[in-house]
Amino acid sequence: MRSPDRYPWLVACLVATGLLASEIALDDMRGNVAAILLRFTLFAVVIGLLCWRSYVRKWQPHGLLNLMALAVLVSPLLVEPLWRMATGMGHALEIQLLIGFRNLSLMSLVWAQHRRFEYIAVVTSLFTILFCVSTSQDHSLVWLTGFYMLAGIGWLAEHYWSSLRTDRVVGTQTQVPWKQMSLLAVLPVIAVMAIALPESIRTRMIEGFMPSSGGTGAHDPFARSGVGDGDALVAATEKAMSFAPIEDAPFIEGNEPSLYDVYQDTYGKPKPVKKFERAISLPMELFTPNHHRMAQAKKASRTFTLDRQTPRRAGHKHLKDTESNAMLHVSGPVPAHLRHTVYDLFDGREWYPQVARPIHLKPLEVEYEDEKPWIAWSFRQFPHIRTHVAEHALRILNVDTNRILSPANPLAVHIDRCDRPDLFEWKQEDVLAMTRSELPAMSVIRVRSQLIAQSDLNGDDVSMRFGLPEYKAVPEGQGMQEIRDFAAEWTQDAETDWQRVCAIRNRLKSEYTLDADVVVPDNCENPVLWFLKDSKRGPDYLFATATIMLCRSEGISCRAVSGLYANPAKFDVAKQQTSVHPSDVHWWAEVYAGPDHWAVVESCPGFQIRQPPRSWLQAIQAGLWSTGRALVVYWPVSLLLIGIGSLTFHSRRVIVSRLLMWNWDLRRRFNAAADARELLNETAVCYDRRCRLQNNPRPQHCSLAALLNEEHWPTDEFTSQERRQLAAAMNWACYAPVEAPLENAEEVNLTDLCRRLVHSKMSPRQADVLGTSL
Amino acid sequence: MSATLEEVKNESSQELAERVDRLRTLLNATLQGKADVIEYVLVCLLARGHLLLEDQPGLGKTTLAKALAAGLGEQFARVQCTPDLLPSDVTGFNLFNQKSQEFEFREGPVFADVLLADEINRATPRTQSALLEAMAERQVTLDTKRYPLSETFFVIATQNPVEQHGTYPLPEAQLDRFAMKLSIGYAAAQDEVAMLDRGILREGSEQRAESEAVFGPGELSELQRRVAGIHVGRNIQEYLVAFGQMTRGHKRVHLGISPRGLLVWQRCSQARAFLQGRTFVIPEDAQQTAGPVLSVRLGIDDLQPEQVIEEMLTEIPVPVQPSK
Repeated sequence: MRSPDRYPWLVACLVATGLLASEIALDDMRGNVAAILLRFTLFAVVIGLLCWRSYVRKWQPHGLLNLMALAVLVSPLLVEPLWRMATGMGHALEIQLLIGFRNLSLMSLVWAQHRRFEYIAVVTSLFTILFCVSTSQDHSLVWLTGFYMLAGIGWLAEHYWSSLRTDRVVGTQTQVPWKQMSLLAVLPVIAVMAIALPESIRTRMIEGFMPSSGGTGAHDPFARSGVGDGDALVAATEKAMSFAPIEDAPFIEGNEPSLYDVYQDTYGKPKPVKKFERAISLPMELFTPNHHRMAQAKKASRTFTLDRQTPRRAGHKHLKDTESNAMLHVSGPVPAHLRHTVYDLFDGREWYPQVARPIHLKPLEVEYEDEKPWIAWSFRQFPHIRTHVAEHALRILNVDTNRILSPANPLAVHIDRCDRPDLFEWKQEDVLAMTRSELPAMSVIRVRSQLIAQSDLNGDDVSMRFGLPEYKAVPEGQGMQEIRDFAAEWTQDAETDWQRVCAIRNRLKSEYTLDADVVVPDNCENPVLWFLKDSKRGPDYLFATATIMLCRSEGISCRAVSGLYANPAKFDVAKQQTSVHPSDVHWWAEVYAGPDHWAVVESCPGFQIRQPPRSWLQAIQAGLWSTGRALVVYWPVSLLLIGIGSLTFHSRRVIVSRLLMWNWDLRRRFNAAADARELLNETAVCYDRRCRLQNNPRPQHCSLAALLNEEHWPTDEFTSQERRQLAAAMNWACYAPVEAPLENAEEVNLTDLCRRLVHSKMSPRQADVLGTSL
Repeated sequence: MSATLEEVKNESSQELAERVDRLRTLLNATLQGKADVIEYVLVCLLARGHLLLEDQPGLGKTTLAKALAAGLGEQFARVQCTPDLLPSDVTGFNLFNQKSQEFEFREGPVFADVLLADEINRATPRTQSALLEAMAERQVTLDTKRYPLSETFFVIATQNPVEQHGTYPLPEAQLDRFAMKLSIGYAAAQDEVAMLDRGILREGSEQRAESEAVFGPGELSELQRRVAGIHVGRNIQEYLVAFGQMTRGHKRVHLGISPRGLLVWQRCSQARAFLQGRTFVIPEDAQQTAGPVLSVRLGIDDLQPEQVIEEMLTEIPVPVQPSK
C-alpha cells in the first residue's frame, strides 16, 4: 500500500541523517569535514535522483527486491577482501556492517513510497545512527541524534494519524500466520546446528559482531577501538597478541631451555670427538684466517656437527615442567623461517657460526610509527627484485635466548615502549639480539622483514656469486669431487644461478626422504656424500648441508641457517596465530641474492616458503593457468561442464521462464489467501516477463487485456469467453477503483485462468497478433 | 415513453445503457454503414462536447444532426452560416415592444438543445466568435444581461474542406472549443445500395425518429452527469498527461494539447467507457478517442494528423499495474 505523499520526505530526512552520521563515524578521528560533506553530497544526489525516478516512474517492488536487499546488506563483507587486496586499505568488521545497513537504508529509501520499504528504511536508519553514536566520539553526532529524534517523532505522529484516516472499515480476517510460524520453527534448527558446531568455528562466526573491550582474538589491521585487533587484554599465555606487563617482563628470570638444548633434544647429542686425521677439511687459505674463531666456537660448543647420536624421542626434558609445550606463538603470515643462528664455514663435518663482522654492524636507529618506537637499520633495495614487507608478532614463551628470531631480510624490530637502540646488538649478519641474557618473556616482539619474490631471481641483474669467500668455501678431501660431479650433473640444464639452485632443491625434494632418526654412521668420512649417494634420507640439517655444498660447488654463495619453522599446519584459525614447538627446530639454506638480500632455499620435503603476494596480473595469470590445467587434466569433467554450461546458456530463457512459472506457483501455494487483484497483477507481471524472455514482448501501447481480446489469440488455450472474462478481470485489477468488486466473480475461476495464462505457450508473436496499429 | 427525471436518477446504469443503445440503433438506421462515426457522436454527446464535422456536401451531416435531435427529444435549430450572418442572428437580439414600451429579448437559434451550424467557416470571424463563446460558456450575454443556454446544448458544426474561396477558417484557439472533429466519409458500396433501396423510406425514418424520442427533457443531462462520474485511475490520468507532454515537445507537432484538451479527452474516455458498459476507464478508451479529440486541437505538420497521433500513441507505454 502506498504511503501518503508527505511520508517519503520525513523518511528521507531520517535516512539522510543516518547517512551523514555514518559518514562522520567512518571518518572518525580524522575530522576531514570536506571529505564527509563531499561523500554525503554525492550519496544524496545519486539516491535523490533514484528516488525521484522511482517516484515519477512508480517503481513497483518485485520478487528480486528482497534478494537485492540482502545482497546490499552483505555486499560490504564480500567486497572488503577485494578492496583490501586492491588498495591495501580496509574497514573493521563492525564498520563493514555499518556500511551494509547504511546501504540498505538508502536502497529502501528509493522504494520508500511502499510501506514495507518505508519501514525498512526507518529501522535501518535508526540502527545506523545508534551504531554511529555508540561507536564514534564525534560531538556532532549528538546534534544529529537530536535532529533524528525530532524527525522520528514527526514520522511516528504522521504514521499514527494516517493510520486513523480511512474511508471505510475493512473487515478483519483471522488467518494463521504460517509464514511467520515456519520462520519460528527454523530458529530452533539453526540454534541446534550452531551449538553442534565446534567451538572454534562458533567463536569465529560471532566474533566482531558485538563491540567489546576484551578483544576477540582475531587480528584485524583495520580494527578500531580495541574491537577485533587482538590487542586487548586476554589470557597472556594463550595469545601471541595478548597484553603483557612489559614493565616487569625484562626482569623476570625463568628456566626456559635454550635453542641449543632443544637442538640436542631434537637432533641428538654430538658424538664424542675422535682423535684422528680428517679425510676432508677446509682449504688452507680459508682455514688460516678463520682458525682462531673456529677454535673459539668449538671451545664454546657453538658449532653444529653432523656427526650426532640418535635423538631420543621421549620428549623434550626441558619442557616437561611447563604448562604449554609451545616455545613461542607467531602472529603473521606463515610459513615463516625464523632465523636464530647463521653458519658460514663448513669443514666437512661441523658448521661454524658466522661472526659479526664490522660490515654487519649496521647502526640502529629509533623510528616512530603511530607513536610506537621501531628499532630500524639501513637496508638496500633492489628495484629489479619484487619484495613485500611482512610483519610478524612473536611471543616468546619457553625458550631461553636473547636473539630476536626473525625471517630472512629483517628490516625493523618493535617491542612496545622499548625505544633504546643500546638495548640491542648485532650477533651475526642480520641476527639481532638484546643486550641481556634472554628476551623479555611474555612480551610481544614485532619483526618486520622483506619477502623476496623468488621468481625475480632469474634475472640477469641478480648475481649469486659475489658473497664473502666463507659463503663459497667448499672443504677439500675425500669425496668432494663426487659431490661436484653430482652438482654438475643435476644442474647441467640450468642457465642461471637461480635455476641451478632450483634444480638442486627440486632434486633433493623429490628424490630424498626426510628422516629425523637417521644419523651419520661412525665410519663415514664424508657425511654429505654419504647422504647424497648412499642413504638418500636424513634429517633436515643434512638436506641443508647437501644443498649448500652442491650450490657452493657451482660457485653460488650460500649459507646454513638454524632456527624455527612456523608451520602453517599449526595455524589456529580461532586465535589467528601459529604455535611453534620444539619439534619445529629446523635447518635450511640461504642463497646470496645481493647485498642485504638472502633467499631461503627449502630442500626438505614437506616444507614451504612464504612468497610475496602476487600482483593482480600474476594472480589472473595463475588463475587462468590453473583453470586451464585443471580443464585439461580433468577433461571428462571439463567436457561435461562445458556441455552443461552450453546447454544452460542456450536454454537460459527457457530456464528463467520456467523459474518464473515455479515462482508464481509457489506464491499461489503459500499465499493462497491473496485477493484477486493481487493475483491478477502478479499474473500480468509474470506473463510479461515470460514474453520478454521469449523475445515476444507485449507491445508497450497495448495492455494485456487488449491482447487477450484480440481475435487472433490461439484458441487451444482459452475459449473466447474465457479470454474475455480474463481480459475484463485484468482491466478491473489494474484500472478499477479499489472498492469496486469484480463483476461475475463467482462465475469465473480466476486462479485457474491465471495459471493457464502463466503457463501458456505464447506461440504467436504478440506484435503480429495485435498489428502495428491501435 | 420517456421516464421522469426522478425515475432516471434512480435508474441503474444498465437501464441507461439500454436507452443509449436505442439511440444508437436509431442513428445507425438513419446513417447506414457509419457505426463508428455514430459511436463517436454519442461519445461527444455524453461528454458534453461539441462536434465539428468536416466533410463533403451531401454525406448526411444535417440528417445526422436532425436524427440526433429527434432521438434526444430535444429542440433542434439550424443556422446556415454565410458571410452576411450577424452575431445577433445566432445569439438573439432585443426588440423594442411598442405595446409594452419595453425591450424584449428574442432568442436566437443557440437557445435550441441541438444546433446545426452548417458551413461554419463561411461565417465571419465575428459571428464565429459569438457562436464559439456560446459553446464554451453555455450562455449568451446581451446588454450586460446573461441568458443561460440549455444544459444539454450540443453543437454540430460542419465545414466543407474543398471550397475554400470566401471562407474564414477557424483559428486553433477556437477549434479547441470543439470536443471532436469527425469526417463521415463515403459509405461502403453495399451500404450505398441499401440506402438507395430505402431512399424513399428515409423521410419516413426521420418521422419515426421524431416520434420515437429516447430521452425526455432533462434526462440527457442526468446521463451526462453519470458519465462524468466514471472512475479514471491515477495511472490512466498519468498516461493521458504523459501523452500530452509528448505532444508539447514532439518534432512534428507545432501546437501541443492544452489542459482543456486533456480534460475533454478524459471526459470523452469516460463516455466511451460508459458506452462500453464499464464503470472505469481503460487505456483503450483513451486510445480510441484520441484521434477525433486530438486532431481538432493539435497543430500537426502532416497531411494525415490521425496517423501521426497513432504513431505517438504507440510510443507511450500503457499502464499495466494499478497505481498505489
